[in-house]
Amino acid sequence: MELLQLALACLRVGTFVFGGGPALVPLLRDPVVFRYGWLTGDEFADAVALGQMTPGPLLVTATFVGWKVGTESGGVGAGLLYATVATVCIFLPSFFMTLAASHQLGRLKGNPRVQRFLRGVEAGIVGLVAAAAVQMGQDAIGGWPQGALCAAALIVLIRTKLEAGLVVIASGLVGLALTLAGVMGSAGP
Amino acid sequence: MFLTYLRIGATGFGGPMALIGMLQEQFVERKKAISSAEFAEGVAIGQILPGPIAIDAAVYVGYRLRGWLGAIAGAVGLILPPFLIMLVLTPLYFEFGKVPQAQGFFAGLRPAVVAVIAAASWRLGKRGLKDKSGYLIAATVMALSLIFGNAQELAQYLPAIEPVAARARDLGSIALIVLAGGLGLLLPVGQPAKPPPEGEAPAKGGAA
Repeated sequence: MELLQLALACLRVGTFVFGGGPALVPLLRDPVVFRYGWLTGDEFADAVALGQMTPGPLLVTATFVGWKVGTESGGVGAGLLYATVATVCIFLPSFFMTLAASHQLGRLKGNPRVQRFLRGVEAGIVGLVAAAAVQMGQDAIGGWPQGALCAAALIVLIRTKLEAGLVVIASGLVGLALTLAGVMGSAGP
Repeated sequence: MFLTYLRIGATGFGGPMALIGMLQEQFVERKKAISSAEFAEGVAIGQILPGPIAIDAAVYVGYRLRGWLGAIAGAVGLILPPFLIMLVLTPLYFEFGKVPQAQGFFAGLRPAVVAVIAAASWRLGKRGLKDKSGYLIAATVMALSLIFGNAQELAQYLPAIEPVAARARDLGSIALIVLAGGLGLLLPVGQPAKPPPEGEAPAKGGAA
């Protein structure tokens, strides 16, 4: 039953993840954290971080979700199965849509209604992703050290072309140092 | 061909544009398997459709060259390496994540994740918000998303919204994306305020 819920949730996310990776965060968070409670907010943020550190698209965050849901319901074997199903399902919609569109691109691009719908979506995603940043910030930033890390990372990401995965790891190492030095308390919920 | 995809998938750090650059180098410049105009069409499809641009482009190139098998090779080749890496990292995370040192590491990592998401929104905004309608849609979606996300807290003050509060948060993002598209149909998004002079095409939104 959970496997079916997981598959359907990933298919839904895969169908609506316009604009590439970032929209994944609010879309996947809805079912995974809120609706089914498969991951805590902290675990979800960590899953996104791991997705960021791996090469390729952020959508592999779904693998993490599948592994956790699977291992909790039936050990390592189920973990592998659920992780595979989640990953396949999140990529499947865009796979089929690409094949369908490779014959229809001219019509899609020429249709003014499609154009305007997509421009609206493009603008909406900006707000959706911004709101996700605010909401996840409420959980992740519990004091001034975390606030400073977030601000510093944001400046680095916007001003330089440094790889996001590296910035995330660097910030983790600073967090580790600050925790060992007793400046920053370990993450409290 | 599958091996080429695998190699790109395994080394594809640096976001979608880096991956697309590698695909182009391999299939357009080195192997000359596909023309750069055709490749550009694949990228254009990726920009219009949901899903990662690079995967869409890889599937498109594979399909053009070898049909269904090529398309599957493109998708699987690009996704398999990060999928396997995730399968290694995730159990490690659940095994060692509770160690105090790891807790400190992740407590420092999460603020950066927030920054990555905020920066992504900034980048998407620079590309996608070109006029007042665009800003209006983005602001509406952001406000509604924040309201949906805190609906259960709000329900304490407004008992009337209690029955829909939980539901709003569950389906919020998909509903908001559809709403944004609907607003795009109603508002003049990306249209020039005045009709452009003859022969000058209005700026295309998706083709940045």
